[in-house]
Amino acid sequence: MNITATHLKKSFTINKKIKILFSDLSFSVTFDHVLALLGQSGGGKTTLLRILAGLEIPKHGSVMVDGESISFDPHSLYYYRQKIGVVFQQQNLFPHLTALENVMLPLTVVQRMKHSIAKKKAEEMLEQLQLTAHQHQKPHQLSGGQGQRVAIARALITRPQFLLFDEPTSSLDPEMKSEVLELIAQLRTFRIPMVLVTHEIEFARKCADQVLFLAEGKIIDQGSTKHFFTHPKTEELRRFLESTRAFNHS
Amino acid sequence: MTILKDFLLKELRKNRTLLCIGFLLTLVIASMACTLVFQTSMRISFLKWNLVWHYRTVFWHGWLETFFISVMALMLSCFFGTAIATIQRSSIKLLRFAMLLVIEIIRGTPLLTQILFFFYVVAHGIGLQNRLITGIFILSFFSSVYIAELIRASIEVIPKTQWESAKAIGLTTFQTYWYVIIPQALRPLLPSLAGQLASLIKDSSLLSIIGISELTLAAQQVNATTYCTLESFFPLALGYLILTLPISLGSRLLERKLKV
Repeated sequence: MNITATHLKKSFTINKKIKILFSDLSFSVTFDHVLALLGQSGGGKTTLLRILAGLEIPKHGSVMVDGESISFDPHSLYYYRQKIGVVFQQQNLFPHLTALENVMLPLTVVQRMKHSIAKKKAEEMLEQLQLTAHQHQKPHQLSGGQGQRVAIARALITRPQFLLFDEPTSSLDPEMKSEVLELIAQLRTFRIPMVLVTHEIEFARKCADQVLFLAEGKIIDQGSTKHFFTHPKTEELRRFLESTRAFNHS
Repeated sequence: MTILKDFLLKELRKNRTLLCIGFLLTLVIASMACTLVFQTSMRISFLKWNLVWHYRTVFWHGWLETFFISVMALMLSCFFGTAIATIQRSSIKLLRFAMLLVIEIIRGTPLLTQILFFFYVVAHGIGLQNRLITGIFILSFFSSVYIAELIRASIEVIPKTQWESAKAIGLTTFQTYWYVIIPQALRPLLPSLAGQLASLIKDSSLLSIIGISELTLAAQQVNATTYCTLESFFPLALGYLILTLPISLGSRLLERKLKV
């Protein structure tokens, strides 16, 4: 999979002050399975992911996914979003629906699939992710990790072109974190490319093929995971890796 | 005094037994007051239920009229309320502002004033002669503004992440409302909506001022003919309770059913 961004510009207005996130962001990255977006908080990782998810519209610039340009008019974005899967930081399941109904919703409503077929597909998906025991539970009855796994099932059920994860474990306890991270690692078997914003450096190291390192709205470094962690090109990246390592070990 | 009040309130919140005792005490006092009223009226003259029974059809027709007005106004006000709430969420600023103005005018004036104004000024102006239809519309408009505010508030409490999630899985705005927002908004909305609908029924009594022969006017007429105050107004209260109690009971049942 290839993602190419050219001259991306994005700014936000917070309390009547304009905050520029990217002034001119360009990159091109090719990967087989997993691309990890790393960097300090506020560096623009999540915004970049949200642009890829069709949830934010850049002020200028273009993004191409596998040679196809994302059209940022609302109507095209609506169809574009149907082709991809997103897993958010908080699990974001619909609280009035059971786990099974949550997973079925994209099939029955967006793809207009017959209820019985959608149910069968959703049950199969939940079984694959070892969630059958929880399929009739509502989100508040699930643990954080289980909820996030159901959210992953909901994103996967439509067989998306690619999957986006926005810090999927940052609101979880350590034990639940490993449960979700293990699942994400297993998703390789689905052969769906994934873009992952994460603070779990060790996980990115084990799981990702390519890494993009963002700071202050710029790509500081990018490369294959192996090279990226062993030979940090910039001083900034070296400091970042050291600080996270120290943090992870403490 | 305020210290004592604060203390009592705090204690009440803390202690449910105190709350129960308070409730029982109120009940005892209320029943004593009722007995007193009954005894006094018994002493003056024996209750003339038979005289009022004679006018049962007047009550019955009045009650039917109230029932009809309430049902029509309930449906219309829910419809107008949803429409107003939708306009309030529209992206056109001018439309939102105009709606806000209407809301403030209706909320800032008493219902009685609105009834008089709309009946004698607006309805006469546009040549609408039917009192009943005018009454139903006035009541619906008044109530719909409050219902719109309830709808707006119950939609606003739904976290932004739910909208985002719905958008991300590819739902349209309509689908988002239908499958995600409305089912979640209903639970906080129902109790307050039931309260609003019950007060709409009670407010319909004010329509007697423009001569709509609903329950209150019927009771007033019976009282004027028979001079039996208690016997005339007791069925009046009962008639309204028959309409309002099922609403609050029904809402409680639905609320339990919709519990997350």
